[in-house]
Amino acid sequence: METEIPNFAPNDALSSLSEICGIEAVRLIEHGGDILQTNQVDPVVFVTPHDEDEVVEIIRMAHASRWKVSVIGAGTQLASGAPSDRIHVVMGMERLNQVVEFAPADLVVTVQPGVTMEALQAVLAAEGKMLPLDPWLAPNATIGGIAATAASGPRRALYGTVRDMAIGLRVVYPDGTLVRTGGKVVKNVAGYDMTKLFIGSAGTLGVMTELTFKLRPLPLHRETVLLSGTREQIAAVQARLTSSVLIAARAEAMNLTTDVTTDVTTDVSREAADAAWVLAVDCDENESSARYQRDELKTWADEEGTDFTYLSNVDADAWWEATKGSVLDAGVVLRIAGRPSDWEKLARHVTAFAAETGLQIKQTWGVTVGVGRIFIGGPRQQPHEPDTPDSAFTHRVSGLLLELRQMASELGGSAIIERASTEIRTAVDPFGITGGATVLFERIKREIDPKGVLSPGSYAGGI
Amino acid sequence: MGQVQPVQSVEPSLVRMSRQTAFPFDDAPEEDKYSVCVHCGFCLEVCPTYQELGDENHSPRGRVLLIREAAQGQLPLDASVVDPVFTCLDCRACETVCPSGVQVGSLIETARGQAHIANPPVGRAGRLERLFLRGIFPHPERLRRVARLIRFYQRSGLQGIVRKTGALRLLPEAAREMEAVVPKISEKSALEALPERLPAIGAKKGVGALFTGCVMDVFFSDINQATARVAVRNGLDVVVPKTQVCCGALQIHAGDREQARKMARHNIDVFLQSGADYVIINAAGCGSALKEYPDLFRDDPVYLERATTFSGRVRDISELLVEVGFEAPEGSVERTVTYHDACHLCHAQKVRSQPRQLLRSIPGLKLVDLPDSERCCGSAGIYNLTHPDMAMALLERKMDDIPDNADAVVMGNPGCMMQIRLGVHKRGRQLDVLHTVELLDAAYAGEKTWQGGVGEVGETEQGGQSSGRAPGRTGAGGGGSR
Amino acid sequence: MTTESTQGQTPPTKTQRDAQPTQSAQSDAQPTQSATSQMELVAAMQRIVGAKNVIYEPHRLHVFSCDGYVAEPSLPRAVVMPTNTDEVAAVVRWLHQHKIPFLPRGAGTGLSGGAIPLNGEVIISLVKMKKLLSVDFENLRAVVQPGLVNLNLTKLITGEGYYYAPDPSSQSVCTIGGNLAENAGGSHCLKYGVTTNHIVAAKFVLPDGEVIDVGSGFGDPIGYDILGLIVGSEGTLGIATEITVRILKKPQAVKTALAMFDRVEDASNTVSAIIGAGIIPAAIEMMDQLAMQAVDKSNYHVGYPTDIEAVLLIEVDGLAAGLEEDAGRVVEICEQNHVRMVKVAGSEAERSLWWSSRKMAFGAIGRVSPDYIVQDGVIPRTKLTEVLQRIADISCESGLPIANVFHAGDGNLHPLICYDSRIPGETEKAMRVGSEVLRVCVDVGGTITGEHGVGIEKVEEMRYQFGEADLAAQLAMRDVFNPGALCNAGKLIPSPARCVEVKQARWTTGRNAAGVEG
Repeated sequence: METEIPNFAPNDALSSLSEICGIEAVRLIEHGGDILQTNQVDPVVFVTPHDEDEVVEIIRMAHASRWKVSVIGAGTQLASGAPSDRIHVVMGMERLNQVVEFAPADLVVTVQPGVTMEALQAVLAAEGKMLPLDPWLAPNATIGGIAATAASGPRRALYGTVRDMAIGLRVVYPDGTLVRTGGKVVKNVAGYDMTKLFIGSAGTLGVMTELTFKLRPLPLHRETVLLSGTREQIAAVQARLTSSVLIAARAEAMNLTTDVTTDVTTDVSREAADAAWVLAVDCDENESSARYQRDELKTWADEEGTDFTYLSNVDADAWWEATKGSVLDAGVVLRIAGRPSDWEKLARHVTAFAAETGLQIKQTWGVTVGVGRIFIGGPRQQPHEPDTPDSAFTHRVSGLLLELRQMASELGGSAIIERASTEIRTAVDPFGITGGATVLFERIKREIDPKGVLSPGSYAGGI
Repeated sequence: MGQVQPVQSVEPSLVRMSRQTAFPFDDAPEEDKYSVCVHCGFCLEVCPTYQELGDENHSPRGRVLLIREAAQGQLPLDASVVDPVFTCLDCRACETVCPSGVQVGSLIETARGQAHIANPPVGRAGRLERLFLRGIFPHPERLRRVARLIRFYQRSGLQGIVRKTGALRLLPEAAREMEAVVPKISEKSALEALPERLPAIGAKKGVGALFTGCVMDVFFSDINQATARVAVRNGLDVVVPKTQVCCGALQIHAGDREQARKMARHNIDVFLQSGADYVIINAAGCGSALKEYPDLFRDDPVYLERATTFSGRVRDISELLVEVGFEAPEGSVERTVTYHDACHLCHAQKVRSQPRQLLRSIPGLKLVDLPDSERCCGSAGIYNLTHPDMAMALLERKMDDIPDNADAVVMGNPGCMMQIRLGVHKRGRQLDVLHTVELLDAAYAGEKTWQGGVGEVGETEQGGQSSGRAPGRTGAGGGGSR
Repeated sequence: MTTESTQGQTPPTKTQRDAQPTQSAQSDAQPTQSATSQMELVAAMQRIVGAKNVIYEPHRLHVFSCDGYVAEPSLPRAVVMPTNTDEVAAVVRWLHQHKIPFLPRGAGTGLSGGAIPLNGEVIISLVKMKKLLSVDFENLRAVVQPGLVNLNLTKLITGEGYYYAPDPSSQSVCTIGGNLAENAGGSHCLKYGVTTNHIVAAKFVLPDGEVIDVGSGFGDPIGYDILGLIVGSEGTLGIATEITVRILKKPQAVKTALAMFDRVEDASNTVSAIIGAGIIPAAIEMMDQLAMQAVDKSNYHVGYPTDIEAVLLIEVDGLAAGLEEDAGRVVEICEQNHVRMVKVAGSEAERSLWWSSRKMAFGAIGRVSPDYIVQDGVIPRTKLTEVLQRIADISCESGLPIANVFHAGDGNLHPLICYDSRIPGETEKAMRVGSEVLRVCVDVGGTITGEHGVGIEKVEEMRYQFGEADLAAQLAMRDVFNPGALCNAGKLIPSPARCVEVKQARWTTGRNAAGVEG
C-alpha cells in the first residue's frame, strides 16, 4: 500500500473531523494503542459519527488526506488479525445503533452496525424472532463487529454463520462512495453476491453502515441436553449424533473446568481435565420432537456411560449465557477447524499441551461442524509474566498455534488467532494462509482500497 | 406447414420450396409439434444417446432444434440434421419427461421420412434396407420362407458347420453376434398354426384380434401362442386375421413412410373387417406403431378416420388383461425375476404398471426392481445393426443393472428380448429372457382346473410346468427346450 | 452451410445487424482471418482434450447457440469437452494466451442466457466431468465434478440416507457446476437455504488458467470469501472444476399438504400465518388457476378444481415425533384462512405426483400457450397479495395471460407471461410486460431475480435495483478476476454503453430469426 504520510497533525485532523460530526463526537487519544489494543504509541483521532452521511464524509476526508482508518464497534474483537500499519483515525460505530427496519412477518431485519447483539435479540424476541447467532463474545458485541469478523458460535451447527444470514449491506468504500450490495429479500441472485466479500473482511474493504439479515422464528421450545463424561465417551456420542437423524441446533463439546485447578501438570488433575467434558445438544424443534431427541440421547448416554441431564427454555438460555460468560475473559482465543470426526484428536493434543505447559486452557468444539475454540489465559492478558515478543507465554502460544495449524491442515482444516496480544500476533501469522487465493486477496484489496485507507496490513496474507 | 394440399408425394411442393424449407415433401415434421418445445432441457438426462455422448446434437431438444431449423430453411437436410435424427433410438424416454408434451418420436419419424425421400439410402445399407424393409417384411409368405431357411440352418447341422468353419466372420460383427442368439425357429408361425377363431373360456368379455407381428412370429411364435392362450383364458374370443402383414414400424423407423403407409392401410382394412373389439399386440414396438397409425395419414382424410378407429382398439396384451379384469392364476411359478420396461411400452404407450400387476399376481413369483428400468437396452428396432457401438454401450449398461438375484429378466418386446439375449450370451450369465405372457401362461398352465387345451395351441411342452421353470429359453442364447 | 446458418441466426438487414456486432464479427465479417485461427484453435483444443471432445464443424454448433433462454441465440466458435481440471486449465490458458473468448456450460438449462455465446465464445462444456469424486458421510461432505447432475448426487448417496439439499425444478438434469454458477435455489430453500449455503469449497480455474482453491471444507474460509463471490457469478469469474458440497441426513419424516383456496388472498395470508406461527416449512409452493390448468394437461395430472384461484403445496419435515403436530398446525392455519379443501398426502406416490406436477409447471405452460416468458422476481412475502393483484392488472391491461407458479414461502415469484410470437408485436409486448413485473417487484422492496440469474435476459433490469456506484463496484470485481474480459463477457452486469433499445432490437431479431419459443 501507500507509504506513511510524513506529517500527520492530529489536532488538525481533529478539527477537520469535528466540522463533520460536531466536536462532541471527536477526541484525541494520545496513545493510540489504548483504543486499538495494539502497541501503537502514536496518537489517533477517535471519531464517532452519528449517521451514514457523516461516515461518508469522514472516509472521503481520510481518503483525500491519506489517513489510515480503523473501524471499531464495541471493541470486543480488536485483538485479532495482524497488527496493522500506523492508524491515524479510529472510527467508532457506537452511535449508529438503530434498528432501521424490522419486518417480522418477512423474517428480515435491517440494522445499523453499532446495534449490540443483546439489544437486537431483545427487539427480535419481542416479535418471536431471532438472529440465530451466538458468538463467543460479550453481549455488548456489535452486529457490525460480528459481521466484520464473521464471528460464530455453537448455533452454527444448525443455522450456519453470518455469511448465511446477511442478505444485503450498505457499505462506504474507502474513497467515500456508498455502495449497496444484495437486497432486503431472502432470495436474491441479482449480480455478484458482494455481501459475502465484506462479511469477515475485518473492516479492510469498506465501512458497513447498514446490514440486512434474514431471521428465524424464536423456537417455541428450546431444550439443552447435557452429557458429561470423558472425552472419549463424548466422542462416541458425537459419532452417533452426526450419523443420526436428530436435529442438533447446537452440539458443543466443552472442557471449561481447567481454571478451577491450580496445577494441571499432575496426573491427577490431568485425568480430571480429561474427564471433565460436557456435550451440550440443543433441540429447537417442537416439544414432541425435543422429547424424542432427549430420549435418544438418554439412551446413548446410558450406553456410553455418561451422565445425563437436560434443561428447557429459560433455564437452557441461562445455562448457555453462563457458559459463554466463563470464557469471555481469556487473553487468547484460537479457532480450529477440521473434520468433525477429528475433533477428539485435536482436543487431546490441546489437553496434553496444557498439561505440559501449565497454561490455563479451556476448549469448546462444535462437534457436528468441526469448529473448535481454545481459550488460553486469564483476564485479557497473559497470566504470570509480562508479555514481550520473547516471553515464554508468547512463545508457547505461538508454538501451540503452529502445531494445531499443522495438524489441522493435515486433517483438511485450519487454525487462526481470534484474539491475542500484539506480541503473539506479531510473532506468528494469525491466519497462516499463503499462495493460491491470497493473490486474489491482494488484487481485491488493491482494487477497492488502492490507497490503503482501511486497516492496512492487518488482514490475511498481510494485506 | 404440411397440410396445404395433397401433392404428388415425392415432388417438392412449389409452395414449400418457396418458403425455403429443408423438408419440401409431404408428411413433413409439423410446426405445431416442434414449436411447443421450450428448450428446457428436461429431456437431456433420460436420453440414452446424450448420456453416452454428452453432445447436444444427440439429445432430444437438440434434434428438435435441428428439425425446426431445417423446417425453417436455416439448415439444409444434410448430415447436420440427418446424423442426429438417425442416431436417435426413437425410445421416447424424452416424451415421458417432457413437460410441454413434445412428440419427439413423431418429429424424428417424419424427419426421417423427408431424409428417406430426399436421399434414398444407397450402397450396401440401401440394398439391405430395400431387401428387408421392402422386399421381405411386408410380405408374410416371403418372411415365412426366410424363417424356414433359418430353421433349416439351425436344424440341419449347418449352423454348427458354419460356426466351426468361421464363415460367420464374413458377417458384420453386430450381425455375427446376433446369429448366436437367434432363438430356435418353430416349424410353423403362430399365424399359420393358430385357428382363425378361438372361443373364450368362461364369461365372454369381448373379441380380440391377435396381431402376430413379423419378428415376433418368426422368432417367438410360441409367445404369440401363449398370448392367445392367456387371452382366451381371460374371457376373450381371439380371432387371427390371416391376411395381416407386418405393422410397418421398422419402415417408419427407417423413414420409409410410403411403404409403411401401404402396410398400414392393409392392416387397417383387415382388422376393421374382423369386427373385433380389440386388436391384441404383444410387441411393444408394433403396438406403438399401430397406435400411431393416424400419424401416417395426416394428409389422407379417409384413412385418417379409419386409422383413428383402428388405433383406438389397439391394446398391449398386458394392458388389455388389466382392462378387462384378468383372473389371477392359481398355478405357481417359483422364480425371482426382474422387469425391463421396453421403451415403446413405457414411454410410447405409457404401459408400466400392468405388466408388473400381471407378474405380481403369479403365486411364487418374486419381482425385484431393475434400476433405471425405463432406460433403453439399445435394441430399438434395427438400431443394434445400424449403430452397433451405441447399441452395445447401452446393452452393457442394461446388463450391469440387472440384479444378481434375478434368474430371469422379463419384458414385452421381441427386439429387447433379442438384444438382452445377446447381452446374456456375451456375459455367459445364467439368466432367462422372457416375455411377460410366457410367465403368466406358465402359471395358468400350472392350474389343475385348466388343461391348457385350446386346440393345438396347448402344445405338450406347455403342460405341467408347475415346477415353476417357465417354458422356453432356459439358458443363455442356447435356444432352450424347443 | 455456414452461410445458411448465419442467415438463420443473424439479422437480415444492416441496421439490425449493427445491433449484433459480436455475432456477425465471429461468423462472416472476417472469414479468412477467423478461418486460420479457427484451424489453430481446433488443433490446439484437440491436442488438449482429444479429437472426440472438440465440436467445431459449423453444422454441429447450432444446438449450442442457446440454453434454456432461447430469445437471443448466438453461435459458439467451438465446443470443448474437457474431462478433468488440468484439461480445463490448459484450455483456458491457451484461450487466454490467444485472446479468444470462452464460457463454461453445464446442462444448458439456465433460464437467463448465461451460457449463450454472445461473443462467439468457445464453450467449455463440463458435461463429461460428471463424477462423484469422494464422499465422506461421517463428516457430511461430498466432492463432485461440476458436470454431475444435481439429482444424481442425491441418487448416489440416498442409499446411505443422505441427500443434497438444493433442489431447483430442473434438478433431474441441471448440473452442480451450473447450480454454483447461478446460485440455484429450489423449492426447499425456504428452510434449507440456496446453493451458496451448501457449497463449502471449490477448485477454481481463473480466466487466465491459474488454478486456485477457494473456501474451506470445514469451518470458515480464511481471508476474503472468494467462494461466496464466485457462487452466483454466472460463469463470469472462472470455472469451478471440483466442488465440495455439504450433504445432509435425510429428514426422518416428511408430511406434505395440498391446500386449495377460492381466493389468492387467503392463500397468501396462509403463507404469512404459517411463518408467523413459528413454523418454517421445508417448502411452500403456490400455483394459480392458469398454472393448474397447464399442469393438469401434462403427464402429471392432479385434477385441480377449475374454480379455485390458488393451490398451496406445503411440506414440513423433521423428526417424526413432532411432525404430526406441525402438520396439524398447518392444516389448522389453512382452515382459519378459508381453505376450501386441505389434504395431507396419504402415500409417497401421491406426494410425488403433487411435486412432479409442480416441478413440471414451466414446461407445461407450453400446453396452454404457444410462447411464454418466465420472470423470477422476489418480493417480501407479506406483499404477495398486493403484488399478485398488480400482476393481474398488468395482465389485464396488456391482454396477455399471466400464470403464476412460485415459491410462496420466500416470496420468489415466477410469473409466466403467455403470448404468441406469431402475432406481430406480441413478443415485444410480452417482454415489456415482463419488465413491468420486475419493476413492481423492485418497487415493493424486492429483487429482479431470486434464482434464475441475470444472464443476458435481465441485464438491463439490473438498473432497477442497483445504482451506478453499485454496478461499478461489481464491474470492478469482475476486472479483478477477469481483466481481459474473455470469460463470459457481456452478462450479468450492464455496461454503461449498453442501452435498452439495443436489447429490444436483439430480442426481436433473435426471436424472428430463430422462431423459437420462450
